[in-house]
Amino acid sequence: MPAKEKDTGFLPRYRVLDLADEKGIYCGKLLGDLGADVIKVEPPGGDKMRSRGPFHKSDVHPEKSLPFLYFNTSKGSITLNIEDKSGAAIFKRLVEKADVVVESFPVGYLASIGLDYPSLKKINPGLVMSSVTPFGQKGPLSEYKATDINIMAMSGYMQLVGEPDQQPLTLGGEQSFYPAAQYAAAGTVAALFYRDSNEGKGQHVDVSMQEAMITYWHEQTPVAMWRKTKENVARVGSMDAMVTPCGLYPCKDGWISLCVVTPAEWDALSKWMYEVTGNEEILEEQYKGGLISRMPVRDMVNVLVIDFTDRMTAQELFLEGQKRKLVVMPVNDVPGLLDDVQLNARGFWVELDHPVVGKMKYPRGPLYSDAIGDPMKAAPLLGEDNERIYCGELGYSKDDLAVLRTTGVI
Amino acid sequence: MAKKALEGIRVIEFGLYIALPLATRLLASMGAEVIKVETLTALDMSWFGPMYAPGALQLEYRPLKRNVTLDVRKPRGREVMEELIKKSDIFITNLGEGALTKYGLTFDHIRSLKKDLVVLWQTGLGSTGPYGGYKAYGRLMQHACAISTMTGTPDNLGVANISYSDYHTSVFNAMALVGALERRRRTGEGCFIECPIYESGVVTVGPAFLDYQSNGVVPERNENRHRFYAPHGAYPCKGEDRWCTIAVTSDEEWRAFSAAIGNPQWTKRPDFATAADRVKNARELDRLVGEWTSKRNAYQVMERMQKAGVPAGIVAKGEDLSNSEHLKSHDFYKEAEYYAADFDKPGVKWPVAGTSPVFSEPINFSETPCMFGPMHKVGQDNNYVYGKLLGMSKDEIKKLTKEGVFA
Repeated sequence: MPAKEKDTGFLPRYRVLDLADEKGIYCGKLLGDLGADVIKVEPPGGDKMRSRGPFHKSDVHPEKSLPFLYFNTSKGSITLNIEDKSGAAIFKRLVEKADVVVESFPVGYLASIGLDYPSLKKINPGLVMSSVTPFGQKGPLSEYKATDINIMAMSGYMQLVGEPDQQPLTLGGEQSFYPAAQYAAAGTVAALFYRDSNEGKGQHVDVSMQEAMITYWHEQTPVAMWRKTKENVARVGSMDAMVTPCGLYPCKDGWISLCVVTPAEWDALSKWMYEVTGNEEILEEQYKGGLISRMPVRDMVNVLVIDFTDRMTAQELFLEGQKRKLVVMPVNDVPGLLDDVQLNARGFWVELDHPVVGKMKYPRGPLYSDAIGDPMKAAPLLGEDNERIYCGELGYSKDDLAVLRTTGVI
Repeated sequence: MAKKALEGIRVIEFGLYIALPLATRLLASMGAEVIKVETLTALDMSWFGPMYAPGALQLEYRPLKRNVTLDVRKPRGREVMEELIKKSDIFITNLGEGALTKYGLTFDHIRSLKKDLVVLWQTGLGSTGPYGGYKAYGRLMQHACAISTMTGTPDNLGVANISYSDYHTSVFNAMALVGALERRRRTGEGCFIECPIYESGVVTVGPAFLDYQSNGVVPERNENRHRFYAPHGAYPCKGEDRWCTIAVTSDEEWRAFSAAIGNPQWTKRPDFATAADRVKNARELDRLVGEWTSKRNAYQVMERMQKAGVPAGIVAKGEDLSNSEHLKSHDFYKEAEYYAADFDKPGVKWPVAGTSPVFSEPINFSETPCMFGPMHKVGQDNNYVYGKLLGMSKDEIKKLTKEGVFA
């Protein structure tokens, strides 16, 4: 249904039915955090993600899965067995009044239970259905199975991470679950904007995790490199392959990262290095210039930089570097980020109170605007919106709910 | 004509590097008219990448965008920018507050020019707070955002040789802008949005934030091993630097995996009996899996695993992406012309340097498909934008070009 005029938030209370697993679950979170009315549709025993560890206080419990709690903020929850005939019929009634369905099932699964996009658009032509799958809806690999590491591999991203003579590495924190879901959220909002600006026509938004992840490292132009040089992008460890100095350097109390892009930044860094080390060599003409000028003397430059960073702490380098208009960044860890003075000053951490696990800090996301409406909410309890949706919206009585529960539909 | 999701939306892009132009590229692909405003009087080093095809990198950022030259440091240049903004729906920049103030383009001023304008300011560490206004590059954000502390080996932080969080920022930018347009459609109001690249990277740390708060667990760097799955890793295959990833995520997949490799005796060892056993003994398990894969071609390992229903995928290189029948079936890589930068000449005089492959947007819309189109030369659209859009005469455009306002 088109948005109501009185909705003044960033996204109106668009109704989103979220069927996605870890591959697409972040999409609904982004939409929900921006104000949409997202309902997680869970099988009667609970979403599979509820059994994903780690758990709060290491207690294996369906309301205590930390990935579930993280990726389901600002969502509601109903239970429904969409594989059951009555369940599918109820789902179709929900679709009549919904704006969006988000899903990440294996390609063909929804068609097998009569709930694919062509079937649902007959019920609601304005529906936007957003699918996040490993390789998209079509093509020779569309039925391939993949979890995070396989996408990190098939997108080529792993080819970028690690030491040259060692195995390729994936990034920590299952990073391929973010880009495709992010694109799906942006695409979903665009499809809603199109629908409500035109004749109300919905559409299918199909996002491939592999392709989303490919775009996330494209500045290395791997395909152009192969076609033009018959060589492949190689792993280079913690130092950038194109820019010098750029990478991770040891300092007095651990590590510091820095990157010099413009000639002015090099002049500022070399002057500072000279002040600290007294080594005049660094001021020489052969080292001057921008971005790629120092590639031929890369090893020497890195030796000189390490001699400099080694004499200072990460915090000294960061703060003084910024004064000199240089990009020098500390290496933060997870506890460090939770304590970070900058993030805390900006109100980045939002404390959400969950009825089972209690209060924890969650990131509010990077978007700041007076136009963003509703505040974030903690993840829902299993089926906490059953009455609101089934009785309040679909008109079932509490007795009906008992029947549906007993027969395994909800 | 194909339908466009963002038909009739005009965007002014005023900024550099990766996150900002990628966001507007996505908007252009969805049908917005994006006008990139830049000046060649300040050298942009990214015009010279990559080394083997200088200029080709720009293809990533410029398809379908209109392109004008404008030096806002000149008073007349600023006025022209103001006129452009009045004719636009979105203004997006990543310039610092100091530079914008110097040019007379503060956000209060910009917003006063057009009542329903959507303004997005992409910042580094954020505009406020003790580090407000600090410079940042996406390349280093993987360190500031803790990702490198969760990646690699116990002794060595793992680093992606890439501008990590710029990509997250670009899609956040695009999502926020389309959301703001949707809000404007309903309310008639513009708005101001800030998106720092630091924070757009921090959110991707994910459930680890909750794990630390509830269990005191700091993520370990454990190569490719997974806390709950084994085998899980990149396994060596035949050939130089060839690897296939395999992830066994359930007992069912473990049985399928074992059968796919012919149920060798070791798969029945009691120390691999349950998922918990396999995770505990992952190092030994990885060695045995690696022994099996190392005698085989990476593609064959992947195909055999997939046939058995086990998630697997080769570690793709440029050549694999280039040759992929799957990506070809999606027409994922387009081929387009790019230009050789020569900062002594106007951009419209830069010669075509060749063609190069460029990715398409990974969003496949059934009704309003993403579009692709050529990259314009720098200043190619001066006549259209200044003449047709702003109504300047040919003489005036000539005069301002000569005076270095359009340069």
